[in-house]
Amino acid sequence: MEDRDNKKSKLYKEWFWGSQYDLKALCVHFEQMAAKGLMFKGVKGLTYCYERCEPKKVRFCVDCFDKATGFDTNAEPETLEYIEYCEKAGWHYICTNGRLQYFYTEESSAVPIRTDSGASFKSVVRNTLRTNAVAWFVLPAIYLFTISMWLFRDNYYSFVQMATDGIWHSIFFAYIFYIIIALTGVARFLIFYFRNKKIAREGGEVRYYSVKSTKLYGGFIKAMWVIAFLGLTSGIMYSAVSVRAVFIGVG
Amino acid sequence: MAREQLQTLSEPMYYILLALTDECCGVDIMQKVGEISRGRIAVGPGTCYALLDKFLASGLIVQTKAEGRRRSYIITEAGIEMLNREYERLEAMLSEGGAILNKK
Amino acid sequence: MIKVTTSKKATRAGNIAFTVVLSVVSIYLVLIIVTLVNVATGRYSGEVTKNGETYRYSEDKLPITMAELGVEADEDEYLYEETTSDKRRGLFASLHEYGDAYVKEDSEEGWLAEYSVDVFRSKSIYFKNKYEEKLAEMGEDGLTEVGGGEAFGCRIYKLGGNNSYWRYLKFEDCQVFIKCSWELSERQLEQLIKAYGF
Repeated sequence: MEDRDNKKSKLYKEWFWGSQYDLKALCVHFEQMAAKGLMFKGVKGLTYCYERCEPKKVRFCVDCFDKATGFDTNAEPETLEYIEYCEKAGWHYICTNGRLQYFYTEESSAVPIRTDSGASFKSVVRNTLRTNAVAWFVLPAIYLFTISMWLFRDNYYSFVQMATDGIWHSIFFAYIFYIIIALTGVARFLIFYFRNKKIAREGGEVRYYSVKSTKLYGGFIKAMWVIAFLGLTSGIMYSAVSVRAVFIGVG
Repeated sequence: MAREQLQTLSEPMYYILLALTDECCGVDIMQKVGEISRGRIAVGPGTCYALLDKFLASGLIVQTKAEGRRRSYIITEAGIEMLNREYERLEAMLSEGGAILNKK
Repeated sequence: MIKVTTSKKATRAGNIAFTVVLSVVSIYLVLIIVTLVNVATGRYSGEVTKNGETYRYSEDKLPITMAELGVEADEDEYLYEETTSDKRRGLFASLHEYGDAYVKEDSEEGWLAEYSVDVFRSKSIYFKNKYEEKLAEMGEDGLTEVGGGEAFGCRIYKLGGNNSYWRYLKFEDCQVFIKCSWELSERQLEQLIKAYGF
């Protein structure tokens, strides 16, 4: 019991933030947390987990390993081999989250895991597009198609249904919000991509978003999700009230 | 795509192929590159792993043995040809550059 | 993607299969739950058995039934009388649907006599105009004003073509569409307006 209590007080969690291309922001954030006495321990669900420790100066690296996939619970043989390469270079493995591999080192002279910014940038871009293909393109397309089918209806019965179906209105509202979220995600990524495409090709240092800007974006997205959820649930409840009134014979 | 990328070699690519003129275990290549280049070239482990994969796919190196997860490689004829081409290119650059710069 | 996150034995292939199976199963589960909810919340209070078949129908209260309007049918001629009352409310408008029907057989052709009333309410001028437009499209010749005025508190239109028995009543705060299988007399219209309290 005491051990469990001790273990609990050692752990600290924070909500996930940052996209697949916010790697630098993550590293800087983890380094700042380690300096405050919270050592990054892993990713669990949608949270980053930290363990309390003595403040220390460490370097973190979040690398995108192409041969891993989001379906890997445990590191597959290729990933284990790659981890061995990194450990030989002085990097300690922390955890895996999809294609992203998390490392830290206490050696100031350890060679960065990627020394080829062009290849690294391509890998990050590929991973981002693969991970978000459904969320950014497929789902918004389906939702837009559903909205247009629903809006542009010709006859009396379809029109009346469209105008008076409260449940559909709340779903429509949630769809619109989702599309906004997806569009902001795409826009932010495209800015990152076009800003760094030439730099990476010429072997320069890729400019990632800062911790502050990434956290602001993460906060904005969370707020949008909360509004979409509230809109969806309150809309459904609003329309359900009138149906319930009929059920109990009030009419 | 791989053929396009390997028309000329970047410095890390060049030194990795040089390191593999003798059989070498994958994880030791980074250290060997550092020794050959006298500390001038540092290849990151992620970059090294990715390049070895690329060289294997292009037939420039071949795996010689595997002890658990530790795999060893050696350069192939095609790899040596590639190295020699790159060496000649660098030699030409050196002599042509020297001819102009030494005059000044 | 859905994957097992805790087991040390979880492999990539296993997680892919798990994702696919769980996705397919979830879709089916959702469909089953939606169907069950629809069945459970379907309001059927009446039941009649004839020739070995059992028919379930609703007996919602209506402000005025066909019998009260003076439309009778021999009970031997029909299976059951079905009355319905449904309300829907959305962001832009609300609709209250009432209906009364003598059903001869349980199919689309089996309705001896019926009337239904749709009460459409909206604060938006756009939706009010659109509603009228869609109604007019249902009649081949659009809407023709046939009566109304202060006595009724509304303007009364009839739909054209094959739907000439159908009426559209335009009140100040609502629009009413009456579908009827007979020509409503002035007295019956008065009774309807009084009973429903438009």
